Amino acid sequence: MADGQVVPLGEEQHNRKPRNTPFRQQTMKAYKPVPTVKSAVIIFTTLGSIFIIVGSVLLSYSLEIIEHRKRYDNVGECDKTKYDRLSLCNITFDVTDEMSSTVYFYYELDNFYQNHRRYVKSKSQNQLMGNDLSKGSVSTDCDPIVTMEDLGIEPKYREGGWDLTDKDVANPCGLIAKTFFNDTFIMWDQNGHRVNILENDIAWPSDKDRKFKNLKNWQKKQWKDVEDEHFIVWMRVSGLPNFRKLWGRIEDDLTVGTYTVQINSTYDVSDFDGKKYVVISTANALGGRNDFLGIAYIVVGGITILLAIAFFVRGYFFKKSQDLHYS
Amino acid sequence: MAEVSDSNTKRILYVNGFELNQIHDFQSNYVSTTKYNLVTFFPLSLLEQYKRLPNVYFLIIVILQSIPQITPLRSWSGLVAVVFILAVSMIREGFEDYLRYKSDKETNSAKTMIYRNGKFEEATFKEVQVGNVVLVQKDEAFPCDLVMLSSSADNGIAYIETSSLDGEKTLKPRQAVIATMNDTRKDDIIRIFSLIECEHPNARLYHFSGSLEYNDKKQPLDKNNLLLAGAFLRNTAWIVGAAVYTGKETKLRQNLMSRKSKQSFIERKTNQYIVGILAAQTGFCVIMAILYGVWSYQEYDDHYYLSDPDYSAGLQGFLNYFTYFLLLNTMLPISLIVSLEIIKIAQGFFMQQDLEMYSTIRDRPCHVSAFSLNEELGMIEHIFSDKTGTLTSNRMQFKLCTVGNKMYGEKQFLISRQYSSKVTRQTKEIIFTFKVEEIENDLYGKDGDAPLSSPVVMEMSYGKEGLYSQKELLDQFVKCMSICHECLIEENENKESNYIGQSPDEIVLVDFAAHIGYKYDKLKAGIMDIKRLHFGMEDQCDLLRFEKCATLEFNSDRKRNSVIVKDLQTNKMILYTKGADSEIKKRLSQENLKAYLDKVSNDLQTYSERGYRTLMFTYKILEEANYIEWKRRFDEASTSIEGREERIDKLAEEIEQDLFLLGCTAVEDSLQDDVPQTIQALLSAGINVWMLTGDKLETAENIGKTCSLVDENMIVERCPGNLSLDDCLECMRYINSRFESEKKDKPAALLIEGGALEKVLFDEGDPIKITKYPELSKSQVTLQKAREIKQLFLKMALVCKTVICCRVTPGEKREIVKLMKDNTGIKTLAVGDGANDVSMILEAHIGVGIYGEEGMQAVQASDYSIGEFKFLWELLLVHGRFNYIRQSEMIMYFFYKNLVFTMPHFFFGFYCAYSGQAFYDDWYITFYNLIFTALPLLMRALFERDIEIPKRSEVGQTAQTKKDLLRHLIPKVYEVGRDNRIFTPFHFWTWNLMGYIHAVAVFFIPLYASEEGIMNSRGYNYSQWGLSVTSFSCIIFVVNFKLGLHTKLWSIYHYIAILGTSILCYFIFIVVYDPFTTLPTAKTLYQMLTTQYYYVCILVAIGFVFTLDYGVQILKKVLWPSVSDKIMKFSIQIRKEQEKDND
Repeated sequence: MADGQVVPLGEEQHNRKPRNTPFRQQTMKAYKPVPTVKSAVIIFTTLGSIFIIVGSVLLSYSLEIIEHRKRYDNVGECDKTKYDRLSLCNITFDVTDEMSSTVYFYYELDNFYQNHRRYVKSKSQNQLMGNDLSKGSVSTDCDPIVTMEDLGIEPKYREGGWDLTDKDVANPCGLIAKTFFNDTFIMWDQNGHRVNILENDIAWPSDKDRKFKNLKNWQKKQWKDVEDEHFIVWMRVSGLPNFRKLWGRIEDDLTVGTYTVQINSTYDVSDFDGKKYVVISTANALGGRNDFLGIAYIVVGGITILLAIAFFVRGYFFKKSQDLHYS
Repeated sequence: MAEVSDSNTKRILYVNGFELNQIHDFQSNYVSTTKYNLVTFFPLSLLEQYKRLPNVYFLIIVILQSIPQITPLRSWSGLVAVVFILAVSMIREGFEDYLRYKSDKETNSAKTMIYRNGKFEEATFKEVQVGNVVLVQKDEAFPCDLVMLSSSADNGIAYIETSSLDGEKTLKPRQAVIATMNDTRKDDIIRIFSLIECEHPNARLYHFSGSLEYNDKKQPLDKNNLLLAGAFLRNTAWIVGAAVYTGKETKLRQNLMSRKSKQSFIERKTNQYIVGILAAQTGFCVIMAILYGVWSYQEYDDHYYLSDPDYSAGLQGFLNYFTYFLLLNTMLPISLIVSLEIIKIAQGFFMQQDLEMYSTIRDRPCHVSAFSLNEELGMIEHIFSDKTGTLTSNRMQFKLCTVGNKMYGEKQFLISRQYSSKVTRQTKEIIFTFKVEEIENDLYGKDGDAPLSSPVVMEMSYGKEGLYSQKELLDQFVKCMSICHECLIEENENKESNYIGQSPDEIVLVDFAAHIGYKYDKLKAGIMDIKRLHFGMEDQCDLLRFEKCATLEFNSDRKRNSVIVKDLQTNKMILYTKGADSEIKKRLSQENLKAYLDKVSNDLQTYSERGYRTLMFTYKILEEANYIEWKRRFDEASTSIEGREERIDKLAEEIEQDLFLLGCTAVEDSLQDDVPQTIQALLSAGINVWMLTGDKLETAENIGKTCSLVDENMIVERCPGNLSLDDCLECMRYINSRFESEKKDKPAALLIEGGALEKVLFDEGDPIKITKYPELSKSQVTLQKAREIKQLFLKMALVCKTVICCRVTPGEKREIVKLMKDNTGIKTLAVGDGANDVSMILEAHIGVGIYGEEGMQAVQASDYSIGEFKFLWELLLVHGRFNYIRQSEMIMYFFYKNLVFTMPHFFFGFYCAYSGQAFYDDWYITFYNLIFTALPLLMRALFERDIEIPKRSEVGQTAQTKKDLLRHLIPKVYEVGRDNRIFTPFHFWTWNLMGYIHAVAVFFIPLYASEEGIMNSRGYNYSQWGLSVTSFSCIIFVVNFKLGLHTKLWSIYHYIAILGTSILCYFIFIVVYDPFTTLPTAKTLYQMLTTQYYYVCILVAIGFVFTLDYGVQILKKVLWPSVSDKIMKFSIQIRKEQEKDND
């Protein structure tokens, strides 16, 4: 009854009987699964088998991949601990099985925290999309790298052509852009022929599409070409401190033999005990070499089958009375 | 001034004395129940929200989130959830306030008539002031609490309907002050200028005491003179009254203010678990703070690409604590509170809608007043039940009576339980089966003239008075019945008169008297008319008239009532008293002859052993002089305001002495439908059932037997009330040792009487009790004994399946419940129907009220109310159990699903240098609880049902069909809640553990699967957000799947909730959200959806969860099934068979 509200006589005389609808009475049509030994054995066996099959397929795909990986930050002049200024060095790969095209060329960094909170957010997506933004409007996003001075690139490394002072806004700004990975690679086969590494189509098409646009006359206002695919790849930050980034594609088959990669190493990782690698790998529909998923499927499937067997044995051979004891 | 000091203890006002009343500063009658106005609404209602602790917690989070140095998220995303929640509660608050405003406006501007300027003028409610004389017409509401000065009826009676106060539809009679009745007519000039003294405003609806000075005489005022604001005047053309309480001080408003809320066990426990979760959360934050501090100290500087740190390593670590606090606060989501509220209201709705709990006789469905206790209904361990009206139907049947040495009525009733006789008349309160011939012969015929072997003789100052024949004895006996009561006559449209009153016992007695020819016909101006019809013939009719001089009312402490009348035929003053035998026997005159005292006592004993309600009837002729002197003191006492009741009780005690016994009656109160079956079911559900009754031990034991509380298999022990302290202790020790030696073989039952309970309930810390029971408090030894008795009782009370407490007062009922509640920690439920059960209902964990014949007070005070006792079956065993299961599993699941989605942030910390980078994007986090996972768990919590409960209508009384059997088995599964098997720390931590394990799965599967960095045949790389989106998608599937595994009933709503509102909504969201190019996650999903990686990860995560959870479930259910599981299987078997039959 509402708080002292005026209720005229005669109202409320009606029947208070609740209405008989399936919803009100909770008698809607419903499916009620009953777990039984039989259904459990069937479900678990089926599921286990499917998982083992899927796992095997995944694993076979993964094992199909040929992958070569070499560290180079400790090689020759690329070794910062021995040489003050980084420079050229060579590493070799022994390709023992033919790698059919397309072969992908990666660099790999270890102990590099692209996913550090400070690093991840330090970019201005608006600016990257080709908007000429002032210092003020990028200062929060790009903190702590906002101006050219913050970038701290020595004049001699500047590519030239731009018209910028230290006080101008850095375009692209932010830590990610500043620390762009700029080692370059050249590859020869054993006969001394240069292997053609294509450096396009290496970034996600969705990223290339609209997310990175140069300004008009960008050479004058930007210190870096943001439509450069290497840059776009770098800007898509990696989730783990150990990561690979696609550097190029080799559209030729790599026949058996020894290949040499010459690295122009300018990117220093020695301060934080980082490691740099070169990786060449084939790829198939499931990507690169990764046994984890295949094994995961097989393990889960295996456990499921084991459980099915356990249920079967427990349910059929040591059958206990399932009946009710009416007491 | 004397008046001023007086006004501290009482309210003093002058009728029509406007200026004089002004000094007291009484409340105006302007009613304002709104909390806010347009200006104050926003700030005040916001403030109101922040009185709730959780909201403060979430406010702190929002503040922290706006600090850029700390926040891992965009500062406004967290705000959305909080604003949403606050907005919802504030809008609700605002709407309720608007409704209140509207109803206030209506109330304030309603019209009434005030006596001003020599006539009644129309005025609005808000203008009424204390002291005003007000005229209220038929079917109007009373503007404020009024003392009734006169009414349109000659006898000064007016009927009011108080349904807006207590929900009672039956009309209540009210009496105008006799002295003013004729002088304050509607059309008169009202010269009255009186002083009214009364108590200060209070919330007791049925209590009022005061006095009115008129023509220099003090007239007593009591509750019968008070017309309550909010009630309506019915069946009466008009009344004139004086305003005594206005505005906020009316009984109605005072009542609205006081209702304390009870907190449920689950709620308390949830708070404990929340503290546990908070501790874990703090632990995780501290770990991250320390690790980041150390990392900053050792390594930060080396990672030059991160630029120089803003702060020192220590401060970085310290701030990182708050960063993780913000990331991990989703472990305690704001939406838990909202979801719980929703689920409780919905559960209440379904309980109220349940046709199985709809009482056709009373046209009442179950009513829920305390939604917060829904689940506690499934956890009850002890039920404390009232007897009359609760177990019984309060429909009385006059069975037998003994007058003098003679028993009237069918003695067959005493021999055979099955014996029944023809019903000749039936009303709401009465079933009439009595054969009147024999008694009529003695009353009117020659048979009654024979002299009595043991006449009643009393020595008066003027000579002997006596009853010498059976006819004379019977005459007084029946007069006592038709005079000594508080019933009123109500005439219906057909001019048939009915008796109405508070006590069904009295109604049946007056009705019986009328049937055998002593028809209570009229009460006017204090004169009672009794029509005496010989052999029920209208033409042979005498009119007997009595002047009602004083009434000594019944209450459950006195257990008797008396009326003093002047027999206008003989001018003798006669006292009629009737009451419980224990009270009456103490007050009998020594001159009563032993022989027939024994006969009446023996018969009464027989009646009560048969389970009938018994009363003893006495009378006494008073000496005129004694009476006048006594009456003077009585009048004084009844106009006093302070301690009136005690004074009247004392005077009553004084005059109710040396009574002469007339006889006794036996009235049967038949049990309600299905009471024995319901009690059996409750007992077999492992609930201990207590019956608390005012009956004597023998009656109570018998009722106990008829309603299955006590059966032949039980060890029954009795502890009578008339034992001394030592004997009582001895008795308790003996009973206890018997229970101990045999408790394993047989269930035990204890019957204990009020006298012994006094010792059990004795509290040495309570000064009132110390003075009341000197024999217990006189020395350390006695105190020690009382303590031992209490301990023994507590011990036995837990062993006994059944405890019957006899001869208890309402206060003792409450004390028993309190004793058990405080000392044993059991969860209690009290069920009752009358005003005397209110204190017990309020005291117990859950109070259940039964719509009965005794008014609505129990229902008003209760948390749940039902139409009949048998619905306790559905209320506890069905709804209670389901509510418990549904709610506790929902809370556990809630914590689980939030762990699954919060822990990845923590795990990710170990990969992002502990820097507090969020693993999921802000909007994903915000919408997770708000949308993606909001509804599926609600659906489960609404509809989950493991066992199909056969309906009451589908089964017979005995176990014949499988359905009958199933219904008999249902009580067995009540143990789930009774022993709290689900909401235990073990289960809580198991669910938590599952949360951690699943968090590991949804985090590490996508992570390890992406480790080598190549995601498709185009050679592209994975990215942080690709990993994040994949992991989040896994979560959506995993938590829904987990919920599905635990769902035993799938309706259309489940499919809609899981597939539609959860999974589909999620995909719509991510697809719509993805193209926003300025967001960090932009364009990630489109790429991920084209990879096999995305799907394969989700599938294996689900497979992992399935194998783990379902495996465990199957192992538990199929191989080591619980009783619930077996019964569940059985119930589904039955349904399948039925479906087969239907095909």
